[in-house]
Amino acid sequence: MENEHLLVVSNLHTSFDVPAGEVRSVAGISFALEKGKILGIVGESGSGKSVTAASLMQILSSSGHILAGSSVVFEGEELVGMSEKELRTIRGGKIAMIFQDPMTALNPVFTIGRQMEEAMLLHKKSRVDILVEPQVRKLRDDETALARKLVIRKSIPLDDPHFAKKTEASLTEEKALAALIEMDKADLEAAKKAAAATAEYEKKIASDQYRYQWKKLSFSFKNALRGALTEKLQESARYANEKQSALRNEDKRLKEKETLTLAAKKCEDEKRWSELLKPLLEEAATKDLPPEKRAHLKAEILSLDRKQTALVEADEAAYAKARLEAKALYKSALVELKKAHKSRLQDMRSKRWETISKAWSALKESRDDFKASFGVTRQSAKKRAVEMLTLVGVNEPRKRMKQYPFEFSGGMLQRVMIAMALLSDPDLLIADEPTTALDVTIQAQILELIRSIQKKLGMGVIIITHDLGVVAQICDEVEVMYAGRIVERGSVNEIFYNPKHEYTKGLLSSIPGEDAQKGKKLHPIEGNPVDVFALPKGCSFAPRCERCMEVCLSLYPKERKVGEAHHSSCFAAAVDDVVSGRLSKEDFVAFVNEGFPIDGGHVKAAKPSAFGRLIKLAKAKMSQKGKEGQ
Amino acid sequence: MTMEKKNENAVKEEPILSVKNLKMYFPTQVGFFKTKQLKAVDDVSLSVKRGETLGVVGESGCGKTTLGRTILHLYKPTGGTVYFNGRKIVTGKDIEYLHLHAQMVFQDPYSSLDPRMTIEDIIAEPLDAHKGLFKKQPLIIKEKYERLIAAAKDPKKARGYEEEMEKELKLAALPFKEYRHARVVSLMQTVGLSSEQATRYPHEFSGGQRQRIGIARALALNPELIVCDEPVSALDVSIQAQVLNTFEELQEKLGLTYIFVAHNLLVVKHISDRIAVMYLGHVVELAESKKLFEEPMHPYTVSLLSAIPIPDPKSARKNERVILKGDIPSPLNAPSGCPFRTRCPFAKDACASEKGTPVLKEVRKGHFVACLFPLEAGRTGM
Repeated sequence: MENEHLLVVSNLHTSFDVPAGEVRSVAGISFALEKGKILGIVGESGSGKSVTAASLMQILSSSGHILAGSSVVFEGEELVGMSEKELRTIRGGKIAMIFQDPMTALNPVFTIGRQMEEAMLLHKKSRVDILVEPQVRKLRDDETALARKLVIRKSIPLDDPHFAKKTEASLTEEKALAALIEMDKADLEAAKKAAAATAEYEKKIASDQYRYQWKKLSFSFKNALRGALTEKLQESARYANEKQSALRNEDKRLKEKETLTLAAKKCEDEKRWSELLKPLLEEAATKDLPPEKRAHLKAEILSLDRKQTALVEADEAAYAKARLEAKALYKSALVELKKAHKSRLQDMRSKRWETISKAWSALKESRDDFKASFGVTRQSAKKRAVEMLTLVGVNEPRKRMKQYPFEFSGGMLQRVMIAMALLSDPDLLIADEPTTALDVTIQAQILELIRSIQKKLGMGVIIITHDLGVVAQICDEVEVMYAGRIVERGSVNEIFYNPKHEYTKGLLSSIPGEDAQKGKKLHPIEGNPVDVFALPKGCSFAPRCERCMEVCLSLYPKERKVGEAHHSSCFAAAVDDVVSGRLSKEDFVAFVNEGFPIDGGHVKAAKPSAFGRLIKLAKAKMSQKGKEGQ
Repeated sequence: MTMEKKNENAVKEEPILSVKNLKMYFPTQVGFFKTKQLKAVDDVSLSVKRGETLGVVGESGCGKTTLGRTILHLYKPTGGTVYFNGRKIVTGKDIEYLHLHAQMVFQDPYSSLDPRMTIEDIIAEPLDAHKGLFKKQPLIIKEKYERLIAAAKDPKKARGYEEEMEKELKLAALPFKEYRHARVVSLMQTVGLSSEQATRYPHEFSGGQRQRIGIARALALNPELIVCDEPVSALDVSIQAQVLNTFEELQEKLGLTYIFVAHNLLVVKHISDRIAVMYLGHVVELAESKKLFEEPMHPYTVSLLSAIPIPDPKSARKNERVILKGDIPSPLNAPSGCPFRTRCPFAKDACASEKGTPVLKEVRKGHFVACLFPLEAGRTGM
């Protein structure tokens, strides 16, 4: 049943017009993706994997086009041939894409926030529309089912032996469907009413919240002002107090110095002086002293006296110096006090500011909520962008949204790209080499992120990569592409542990694995990647294949089921199966006969341009003239 | 005999290249008038043994490419010294000597080949540039192979080198013009290109073939050391394996020594004997590749190894990842102390101190770690 699949691609052909002719980059691929699965598309450069992604989104460059007969059915809708206007509602909405290089995929002159909001505003919906979305979807699904039934009924051939029976059965089913549609319509009406009521209720809640926040803000503002005044008064009182005590301290210290240190020193000096002077004076008191001796004594006493005077003077100078120092100390203490006072004031101010700004941002958020309850608006888009950025692990999302792409590192930009892709809750996410430009540690983060979000939202994911390690880590299913065709597809374990195509085997053996070590030779695929301009007639991989057989050169093998959910198109694998008895000889012959040649590569000769035709004409004329001349 | 043996031992021990405290700072404009030093390579010391492959891994911006280029003096180092074959590289003559014996293979095979030159001219360009030394060529070849033969443990290998030497000498005896052509032809055959393609231009070749041309050009002067700067990261998976095999064959045959810079850890593990892990311009761990993968001791190495996407679904899903927070800091304002401390799950206060910048220490034999608290063996659960 197609309805179980999110995406069904069948027989997709994409070709590009190039000067040399027409190149078919994707040559008839078919696959289906279930909801909630991760599909990996692997291949070398030129294998057409990125073109496949671009074809699904229909964002091919002007020279590329999807050929008739291709079909891409997404949620029951055919995308090929859809008008550009309709496609726009799907692109970026239901199908999102992560591009390889975030540096070039984002616009450098707009902020990240603006680019994220833009993505949502483009898919603008009112709140009621968002609420009734499931009902609308159900109605649409049933309507398409009815239309399909109708088409099938009309295509029953008249000469069918069971014509009447089939028509009858179809008619009853159609009737049931029609009833269902009526019910759906009624449901939708009811849902619309309910949604309107819900929206009204939400609006009321949000506006109440908003009003409450306003009150809270004004209250906290008033409170802050009042608190500030008292705080300031307290602070200045404290400051004055401290100044006083500092002054008192200083006086006390000065006095201590004077009374204790200096007085003691003076006293000691005087004592020593008297001790020194005493013997001299006693000697001078004796009467029978020769005059020269007396003169000498006198001089000595005088010099001692002078020394004493100098000492006392020095003491006084020291005292003056100490006083000065003490004063300086007092001054510096005052400066310190002032500094502390200022910083305390600053702290108070910033704390107050913090409470106010917190209240203010809460108010802003509730205002955003209020406006968001009207539907998708710039405010709600902003809110959702913030949510998404938080989900992908961008720190300070509100601040980051105001920044430009160049202010982000590669890993962060890739996160922004993922957040942007997830904004509109896509049902399908296409990631074209999402981690190729990143370092291994960041790559691990991003892969983990994609997987966890995929689990949370239950979307389908297509990952396009050349790195088998990435595939092994997160994919459920794998498709191996070579030269525009899927050569093998199956579950990840089947592809890695039981490869059934020589190219897959070659790829696996040419990368060093976990047990890599020096001296252990790799087993590479010989030759160069395929040249899409000159594809061989048979299997595209045949020229590089070690087990190439004659049939490989002339026929391209049809896809063959080789196991539970495992398909491959390879003759060599079929031979293996015949040898192991899993394939009967008759089936093998039938399989070989089903093979088809690829006509002359995909390149068709281009129509000669007007200039080319002119040159041809001129040449023809010249040669004619030459002949005439002879 | 004994003399010879002694001599042999001496040669064996002497590393072909040793780097001491190599620094490469780039002045960078940060304001209108302000410039700041960008420390691309900061205080790196290591040595490379003859005939081995030293892998250098790290995230983008960690300075691994700059290290390769600075070793070859393509940038003038800000500080530190490089010894090549025991010769200190200081003057212009030394640098000429270095460039004669050590060559480079560049990352991008599309931009490293001149689109207006034929393949022959591209491969012979080093020969033309060192034309003045052509007469010395036999001497250079002899010297190189004698060193190799002396260092070879296996007599079979030594004989192989002797044969190679004789071939080279025979070629070098020709006059320059003939030598040039013959050398190009032999080089093209060595790297797996056919000699008829010599007259073509680069655009006629695929990525893998161009990288082979780049390798042939690096081999032209008979170098002993080749610095390979991400030589396979621009190539497709199947071609990557071919080129890696070519590298290994050449090493076997010509006794080359490689410094292999890459960001793909599995490729580096595949080709290297020893691996140096770089972070913000510092070598944080250096060990034999097997040891490094089995018992990483630096927290950064542990997280780097756990982030490798292993191409095996079962072990890839079993593997518990150590997911680092945040991005690599800008080398313009690297954190104080240990460069990894801002993202390290084990960071302590001691890691932030300016004095505690960890230096590369030999924790076990041949296993160097620059971490204040290296992880013990087996303790990788974080």
